[in-house]
Amino acid sequence: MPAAVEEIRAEKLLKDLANVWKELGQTESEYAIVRACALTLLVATTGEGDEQDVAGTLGELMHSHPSRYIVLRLVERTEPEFSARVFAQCQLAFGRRQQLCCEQIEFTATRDRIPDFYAVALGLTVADLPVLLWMRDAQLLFDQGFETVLPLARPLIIDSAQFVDAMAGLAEMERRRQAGWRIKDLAWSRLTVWRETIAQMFETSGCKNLVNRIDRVEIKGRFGPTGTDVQYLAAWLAQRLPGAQISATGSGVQRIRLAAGGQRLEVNDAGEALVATSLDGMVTRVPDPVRSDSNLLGEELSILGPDPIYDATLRAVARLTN
Amino acid sequence: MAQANPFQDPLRFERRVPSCAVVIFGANGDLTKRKLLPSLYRLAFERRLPQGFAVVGISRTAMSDDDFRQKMEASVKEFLENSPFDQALWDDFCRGLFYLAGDVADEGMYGRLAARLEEIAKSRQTAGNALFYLSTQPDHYGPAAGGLGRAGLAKSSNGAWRRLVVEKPFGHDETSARELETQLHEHFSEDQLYRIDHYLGKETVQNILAFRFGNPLFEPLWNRRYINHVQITAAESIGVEGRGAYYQGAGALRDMIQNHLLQVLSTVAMEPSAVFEPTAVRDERAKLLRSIRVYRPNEVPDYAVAGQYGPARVGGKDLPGFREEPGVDAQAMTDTYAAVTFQIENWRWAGVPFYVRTGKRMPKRVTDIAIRFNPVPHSLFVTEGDGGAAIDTARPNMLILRIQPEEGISLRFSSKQPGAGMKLRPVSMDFNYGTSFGGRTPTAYETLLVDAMVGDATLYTRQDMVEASWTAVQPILDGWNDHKAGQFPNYPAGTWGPKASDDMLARNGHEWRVP
Repeated sequence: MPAAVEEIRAEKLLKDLANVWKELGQTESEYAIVRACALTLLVATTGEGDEQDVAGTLGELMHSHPSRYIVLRLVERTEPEFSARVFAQCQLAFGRRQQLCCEQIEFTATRDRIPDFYAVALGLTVADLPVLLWMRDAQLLFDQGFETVLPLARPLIIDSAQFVDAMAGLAEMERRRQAGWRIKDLAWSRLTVWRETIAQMFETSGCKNLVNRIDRVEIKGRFGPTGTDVQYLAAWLAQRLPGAQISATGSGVQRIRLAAGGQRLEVNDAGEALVATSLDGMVTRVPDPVRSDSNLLGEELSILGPDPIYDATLRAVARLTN
Repeated sequence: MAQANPFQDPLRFERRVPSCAVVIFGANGDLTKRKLLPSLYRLAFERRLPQGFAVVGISRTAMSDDDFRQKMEASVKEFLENSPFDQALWDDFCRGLFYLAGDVADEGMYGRLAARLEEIAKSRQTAGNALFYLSTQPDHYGPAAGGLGRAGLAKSSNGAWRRLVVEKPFGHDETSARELETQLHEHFSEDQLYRIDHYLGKETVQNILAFRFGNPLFEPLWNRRYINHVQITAAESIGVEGRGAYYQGAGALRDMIQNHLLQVLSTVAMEPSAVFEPTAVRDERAKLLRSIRVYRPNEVPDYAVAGQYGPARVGGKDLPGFREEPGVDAQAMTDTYAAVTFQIENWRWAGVPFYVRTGKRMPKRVTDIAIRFNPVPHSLFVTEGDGGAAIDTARPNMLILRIQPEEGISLRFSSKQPGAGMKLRPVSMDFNYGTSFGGRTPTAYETLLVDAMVGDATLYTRQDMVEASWTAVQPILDGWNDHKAGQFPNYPAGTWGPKASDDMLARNGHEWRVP
């Protein structure tokens, strides 16, 4: 049952959480319960009815990054609303005798109650562990009402693929970065397989010496207007190949072509969860599994310190907008 | 100097494996089928392998490249651990698999191998780099290394590297270990040699280093002032499982303690190296191994116990004794159990016994390291026992590093029992590797293969380490040979070993813990 507005205090929620664990310990006899927590992940969402999606993502994420999850679901109502509930998600890993359990505190609030959420959440983050904020709805970055929440965490996780105006979104991300936030973008994590494949190509004897001779780069996306993914790739390659002419169109990367005089290197989306590289007629396929949000978040949560290559790329992309 | 690859992103990309060919001698053997090929495929699945990559399998059986590919496909499907099999990826991966039929004793085979590698270097762009993996019988190591050397395959040229991976055993005793060294060094320099000890590739063994040197909490306590003794246990519940003939000539001391467990001991006890680099880390390991006290023949019975399991009925099933196992001599004097008290003669560990035991047919499969701390200097929590004897309810702290099967770390400490009075009870604080890092962990062979291809020998054994281990173990082997270890069998299958082993600890006022 959702708690009434006046009842929501951090101490009360923490007591409720303690009771959840106590009950779990009493009712579960077959498998031991392990309460695991490596960080606090705040999740902000505006999607009504996305409870299952969020729970699914966090349930998968807890395998690699067990955390205290604090979810804020912003809803549109005629009357102010602010409610909270606590629960634990448990999973029995294959072949193991222990259940890994993570705790979740879920708030539902109308926009006018965002300051209340901030005040309560301040007392709920786990001491001495990193706190990150995943803005599941990237548009919240432009939401002035949501600004109140941002001081809760320095690393902000966004999926810039959601931006309607890619360049405006990237510019805002860079502005935040300059203001001291650590920006993490799931659209950038999606590019890891492409970037890593290119890096691997240049490890081969046939390519090693081509770096300085690459004069043209073409990045082609599958869909219409240029997206943040293609922008990122273009900026990242431009920094590494200052002498090359780079053309980048579309979104949803389909092909990257690098030309060094008459020699051509290509990385293509080969379907069936593979990308293919083509080099002097030798085609190699590399796994490119479809990556869920939890998988992408996992990559970002593994880098808690600075990420200079991403930061430089974001800076370079944002510079193009000025 | 090679130009740095500007596209690398070390924070996100795994370590770079350079273009290379892996040449496996013994390609038709169990290790290749169960471990090597599944590990290489898994590395391809993880995008860890370079585009310029090939595998050349060598064995005596006549086979075409396609036959070899089919055979390896079946093995990978069967032995792939915690991993999906992707047919499209395999189809691509297997194009880089080649086969050469030949005998290690046949000099002509090495010429054919050289020609094949040259051809593959062009077609698969392996840059001429080659990792030779000897997955053969130990008596083939010398001839294979010699054959490779005489065919010019041990020499690097045009910046390409050549490395040789050797599986244990590294000799049968101190003398044969030196002979093997001479044979290997005839054509390969020490920095080209990778002696694999898969125990060191286990994530949890590596985690000992992270635990010790990444956490300032325990390191100040890691010495004779605070640690009372250390117990290292590697128990197997199975018997010799069809390896009776081999095992009969080896025994537990040679098979486990001389290599795996002394490496684990050195990881637990070594000094911190200045940097985490192969030479520095291995220097410290070697230094530690050289600090192990070498027993005189008359001391061996006091510090080492051999055992052999006899038949028993366990869980309603009749288990044979070692001498009844297929391929084993009915009078075999092989040790299927060995326990040794090692003493490390340095300032950090003087006076701290390191008890190491291993055995087959024990009650369960478990490998762990238990570090027992000293009791408090003066206990406040004493209760009266039978006949008015004072019983200290504060038990000494125990730190347990669990290697298998449930990898993790546990800390035992005393806590007040709820209720009136001040009675203490030991409780456990557990860290479980699997639940804190839920993702799949690489197998030891995946880790070690990448290390060898990358040229990182940190987790590989160096010749001086091998020699130091043999120096520590050889007097025990000699002692057991000279004065037959006792009446065998001396422990029933399904138990924790012979009584003499308990007595060895009891003489120091210690007892084996039950893992």
